[in-house]
Amino acid sequence: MSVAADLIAGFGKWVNGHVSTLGAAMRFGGAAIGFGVKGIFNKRIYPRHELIVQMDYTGARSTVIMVLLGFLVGGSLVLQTTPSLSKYGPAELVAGVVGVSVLRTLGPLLAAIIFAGRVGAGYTAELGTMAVSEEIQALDTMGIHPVGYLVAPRFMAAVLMLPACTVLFDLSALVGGYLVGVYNFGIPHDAWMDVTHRFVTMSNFTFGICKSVVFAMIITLVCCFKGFTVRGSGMEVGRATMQAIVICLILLIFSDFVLSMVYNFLVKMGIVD
Amino acid sequence: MSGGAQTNLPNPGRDSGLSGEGPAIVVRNLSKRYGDLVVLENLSFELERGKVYVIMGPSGCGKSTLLRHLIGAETPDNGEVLIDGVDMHSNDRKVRDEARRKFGVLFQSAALLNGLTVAENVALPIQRHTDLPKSTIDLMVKLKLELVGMGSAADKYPYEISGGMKKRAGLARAIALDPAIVFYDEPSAGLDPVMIGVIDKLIMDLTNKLGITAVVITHEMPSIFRIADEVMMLFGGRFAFRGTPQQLRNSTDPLVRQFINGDPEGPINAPRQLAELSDKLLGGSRRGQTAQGAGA
Repeated sequence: MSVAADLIAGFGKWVNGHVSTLGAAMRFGGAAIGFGVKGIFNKRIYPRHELIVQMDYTGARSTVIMVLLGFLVGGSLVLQTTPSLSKYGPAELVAGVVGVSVLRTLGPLLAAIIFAGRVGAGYTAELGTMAVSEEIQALDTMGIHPVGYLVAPRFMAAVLMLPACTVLFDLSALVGGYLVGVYNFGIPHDAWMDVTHRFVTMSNFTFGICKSVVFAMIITLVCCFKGFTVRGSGMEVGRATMQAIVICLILLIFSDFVLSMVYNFLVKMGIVD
Repeated sequence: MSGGAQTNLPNPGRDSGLSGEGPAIVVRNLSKRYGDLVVLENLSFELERGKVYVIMGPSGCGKSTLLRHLIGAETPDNGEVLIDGVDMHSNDRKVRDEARRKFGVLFQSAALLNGLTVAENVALPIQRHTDLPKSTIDLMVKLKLELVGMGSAADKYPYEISGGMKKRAGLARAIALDPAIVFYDEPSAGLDPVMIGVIDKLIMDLTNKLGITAVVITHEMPSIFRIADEVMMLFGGRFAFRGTPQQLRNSTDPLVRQFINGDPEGPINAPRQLAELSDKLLGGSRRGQTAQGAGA
């Protein structure tokens, strides 16, 4: 009897703990978004130069890795798809496969995963270290809202720069795919461009960019929240960083799936082409 | 109990940030427990203006928890903390921020923002809470840093300076907005005796010259006797002692005597903890020895 009672109590405690963490995360997200937007008009929430610094860190410094990996992903996709595709039809169809898959899913998702590893992990480690060394507490006691001062500029920078990184990744992947298709498989330039124009629509591109905005919000909020809630020693910072990236990957892939379903629904309804 | 000849020291020639009437800090029926562990039990006390109060007690007695409640970093289960009559735990963040403007905190690790220089750290609260022009803020920062003897390190980053310098820079930041109260969390932790003396002198100077009320959490006995106007010893969630350093020195309370003298045995349960630790560490081998003995 007491074992059953203990089990129920333990389960209740577990549920209670997770629900309150979720509630705290929602409040944190609301505050980050609110301060992020308000900060554009009110320089007291976070200094403008901090937004520039974060945009440089998240965006400008991600340029090389986005271009390089985008190029390789586009090239690999063509290398692996063309031989199979050419068995069932014209090889130039690969241009359509690459265009649609990169712009709709692969580009935004892979750019977000790279961003989570490079920028999100940095956010958790940086904010976690600040939490452990009482810096976040110090801001609060100075009457400076830590979410406004620390998270809002990171949030705004990520929301602005991840879509930019996604555009870079998409372009590099398309170029990488084109070069492999044309120079390795001998697909004529005109045929490649013609198929691309027929398959790829503007909505593919805009849908991918909209997804990247959602991904940026997920990465920033998860990673900053995990950093803010680190307690104890420096070892906890490492653990929180690992957890933040795992949660990010799960949420990114899950939200990609949900958003793709929404997109397909919109196509079916004739709202987008 | 609340001994000390000094009462209600005026704040000479400056805007203290407090209304100037009544106690600086009022704590009423403050209680906090973590699970079954009672950390603060119905604490009520008042702290007057312009005095140095030291809160001491054995490790784990709840000193830091009390400090976190005083600065609004933790919410009590019950009770209230009033800073110059403003509720530190109000549900309204604006009210809490109003209370926060009235005090500064020197954290144990100094808690300087590592991405900012020492001068930028000190300027931060001024920039955020005033509309003063940059030239005025720079002047104020310079004055605060000179006051703590850190003028030459203004452009250094926190990771470039020593622990004692960090503490002094943290103190400059704590007094940046001319607060009437400064909370010091273990200001002497990790410092050499000379630097402890420097920090103690700063605490006394800020109180004697500027009328700042100081609330110091420490268990550094020489510091306590040097700086305190009044000492409060926390034990078992309550104040086991409250009085002047002289009264502390003359106390015959076994708890106080054990703490002052650092005796390993006495009412503070260090020996019991030691025995439990010893059991944990040696229990297995002892049992092993007993079993071997029984077998033989």
